[in-house]
Amino acid sequence: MRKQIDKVEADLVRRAMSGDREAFGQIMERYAGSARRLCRAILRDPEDADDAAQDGFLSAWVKLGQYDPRRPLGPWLMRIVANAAKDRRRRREVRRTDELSDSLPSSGAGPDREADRRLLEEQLQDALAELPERYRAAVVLFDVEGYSHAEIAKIIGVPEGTVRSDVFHARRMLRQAMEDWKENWK
Amino acid sequence: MNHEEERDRELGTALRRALDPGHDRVFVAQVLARIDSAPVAPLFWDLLASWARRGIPAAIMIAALTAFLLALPRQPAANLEDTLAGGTGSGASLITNPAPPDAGALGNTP
Repeated sequence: MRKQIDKVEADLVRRAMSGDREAFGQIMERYAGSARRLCRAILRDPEDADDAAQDGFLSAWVKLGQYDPRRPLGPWLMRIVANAAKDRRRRREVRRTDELSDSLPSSGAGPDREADRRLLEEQLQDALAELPERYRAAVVLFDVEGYSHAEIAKIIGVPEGTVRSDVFHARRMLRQAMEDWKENWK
Repeated sequence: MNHEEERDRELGTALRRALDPGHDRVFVAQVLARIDSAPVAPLFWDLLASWARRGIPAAIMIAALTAFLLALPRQPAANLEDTLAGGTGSGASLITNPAPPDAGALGNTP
């Protein structure tokens, strides 16, 4: 199944490399979720994150000729997207850092399950915001997007051992933040 | 990606929910619209950047080489008149003497 998917992807890449815009659109549909989540983990601000993800895909479209089709597409694409997010963070001053906490619902949310889940998500976003940028990127790429430590090392440009350490520390801090909400979420 | 056993699935699922922006198709349509509206500009800047990456070190090397060559000690250029006026050897006399040279000096006269 995986090989079949890879074959489809290889065909899409080949078409995109020859300038097929629709094929590139299909590639984006496959990776849009991962790219946007990664950018949100790095930048925190959803609008900034989507702008950065767009920049990343545009950059990938332009640089597609430099892609080596023998290598997996995901890490190559995510590296470009991560760099776009870091560039955007550098260009713009960190702003609206309090936005997430402002958007928290009032304490009278009640026992509603959906509301509880939403509160957990917001709690997690707050906890993520407390982590260093590298921890956020590492834990999201590993536990959410399923990349290996070696692939993440290439994506964010740090040694593999550092990635392992970052994932470990990020998990510990996020787990701690999750603890109070775990029962409601289950 | 064979690290399934190491992955924290519960945390991963929770994080995915927390970070998922949704509406990926709308997002993709926006990117495609940007590609359509400015297909050349990014290519131009990318090309320029790739040139710059190679060009800047090359320019530094050329500048260093030029500076080195300019700093080399040079002998003053010889002036023809000074050479002729100051010369006492056969070279100068050949040019300045109205009389023809002595063919016997070559040692090949019969």
